[in-house]
Amino acid sequence: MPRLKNILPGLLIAVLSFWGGFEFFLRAYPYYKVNETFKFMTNGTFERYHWFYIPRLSGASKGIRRVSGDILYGYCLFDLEEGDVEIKVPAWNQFQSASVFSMNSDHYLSERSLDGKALNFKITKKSVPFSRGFIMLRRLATNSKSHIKNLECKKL
Amino acid sequence: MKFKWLLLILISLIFLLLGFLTAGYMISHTDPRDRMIAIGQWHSPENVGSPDASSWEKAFISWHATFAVQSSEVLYLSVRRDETGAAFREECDYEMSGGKIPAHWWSVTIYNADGFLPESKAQNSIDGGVTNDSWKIRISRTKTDGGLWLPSKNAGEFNLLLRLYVPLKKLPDWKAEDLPLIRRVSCPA
Repeated sequence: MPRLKNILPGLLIAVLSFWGGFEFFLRAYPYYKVNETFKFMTNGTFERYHWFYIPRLSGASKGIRRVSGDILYGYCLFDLEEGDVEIKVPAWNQFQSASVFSMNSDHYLSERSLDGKALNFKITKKSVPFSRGFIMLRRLATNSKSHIKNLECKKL
Repeated sequence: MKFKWLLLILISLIFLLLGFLTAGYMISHTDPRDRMIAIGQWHSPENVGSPDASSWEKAFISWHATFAVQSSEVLYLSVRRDETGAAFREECDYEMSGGKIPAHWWSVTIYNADGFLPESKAQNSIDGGVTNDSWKIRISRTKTDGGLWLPSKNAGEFNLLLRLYVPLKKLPDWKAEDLPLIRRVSCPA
């Protein structure tokens, strides 16, 4: 019995520490992945309120897993502690969608157009439960010469 | 007494690290199909992109994909085995066939085992908008006819990802007959 009393605290600490390390990885990994992806896309600048465009990806682009070859991507980082954000995306003749993510890759909002309309919307502290996040624009572009331009991602 | 506390701190640090490494190993080594809903040959993860997903689901999705949106926006379905249960190999030829898929638009993309696009001069994906009510796609190293073709050259043991943009059904309502079928046409011995 005295022996059990001696090892019990150690056993308890071992189990709790193991669980803590396990859970820490699960919670931290999505943030790490977003950080690494933006590091790759922004060349390490992490500039906010600026659209970063990803060219049509091919096998030469090893940095991002499971991108689509038919979609043109644009990304803009924001921080709602600095103010609301206004997004303006010009009309496009095919599907386009602007999705709002937190920095651990949780997807909260999407504005989309199936029929060529422009996307104009604001992100405020009332619309999402976080401050730092990013917008991902996905634009269907089956024509390989298509590109993205004239987008706005503005701090108000 | 001091030694006892030092020992407990040491135990704590060792098991903290063990827990961290175990989670990383499990996330990277779990067969994605074990955590997905099966619809015929296809598999789709639940709670993709959802803030309500568990920490395991979020880490798992982050490991296997980049910035996945919720299933009301895009439904992601993957397949890595043919109709016999054998893994797709670039040496073999396959045929994917289907009809009208209940979604606003769809595409199918080929990835290597690590989830990256294979090196190819040809397009790595097929635009569902060019298909009609009954279509076939050849998946092979080289193009064999004038039909739709998805190149598997340099893909190794590959997998396919079907993206259904603005799906017209919720995930539990999809049936195998709604989705394309992939069968092996030929394979070197």
